Amino acid sequence: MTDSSLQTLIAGLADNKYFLGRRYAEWCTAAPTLESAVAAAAMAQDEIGHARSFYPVLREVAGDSPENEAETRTVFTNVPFLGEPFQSWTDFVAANFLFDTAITVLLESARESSFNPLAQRARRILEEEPLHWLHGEGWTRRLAATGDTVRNALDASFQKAGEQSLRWLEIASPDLRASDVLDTDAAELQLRLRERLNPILSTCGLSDL
Amino acid sequence: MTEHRFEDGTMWEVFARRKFEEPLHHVGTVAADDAGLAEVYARTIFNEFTWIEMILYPRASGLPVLEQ
Repeated sequence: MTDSSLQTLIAGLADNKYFLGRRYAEWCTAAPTLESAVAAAAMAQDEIGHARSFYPVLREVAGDSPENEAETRTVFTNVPFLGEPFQSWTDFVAANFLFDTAITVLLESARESSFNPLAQRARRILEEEPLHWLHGEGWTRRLAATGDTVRNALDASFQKAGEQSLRWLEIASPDLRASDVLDTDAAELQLRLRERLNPILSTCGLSDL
Repeated sequence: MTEHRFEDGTMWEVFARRKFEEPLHHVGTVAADDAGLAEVYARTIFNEFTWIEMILYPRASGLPVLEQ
């Protein structure tokens, strides 16, 4: 395994969790219901907490530098659609249901990682993710059943987030698999993500990943 | 920014307790279309204590004993 692929993986987890939390937080006062506003706040707190647990690991693998601290970092490796505020609640649900699940699929492949700091964090984070999944699934079903206009808007958000979620899984480079940092490679992770999401997307009349 | 508004969903009554020797207490209600979302809302809204048990009931499943 090269140091650089491990650094890329840890930075990708840290930055994307951080930006997922920041984007969720922007909807704490704008979600469609008070209940979902509270859920958005709770999930934002979870995601920023996950990011906070990864940045020390990034310093461990990449060295002490202002570039390896969340507060002083100038170059982030988040996926493009997290780089700007969500335009609608459908973007929120797409990030919640598709991209957060892509991260979960990757973390599941790191439960028994040979890199112990990653394995420890993966197991802890995976305890919190089922609630995020329930929120994403519930809102996907709800929005898809609301009518053609909303379902089409949801589909557009999902297509953008879905493409980027699949592409992000390419962070699982072959040498991470070869050194048992992850239990599989990018192609298998993409397949696992599709197998998890597509049955629900199909049921809801949404495009498959 | 597009904002979607919905009619109120099903009302769920939330009961919880902090100790095994305590009975379940009514801690509040949440509105949600399905049990999964109701669980998310109950756990994120009523998180002021470390509960040992939390149960949800759809309000409509209640048996009226005295009616208004």
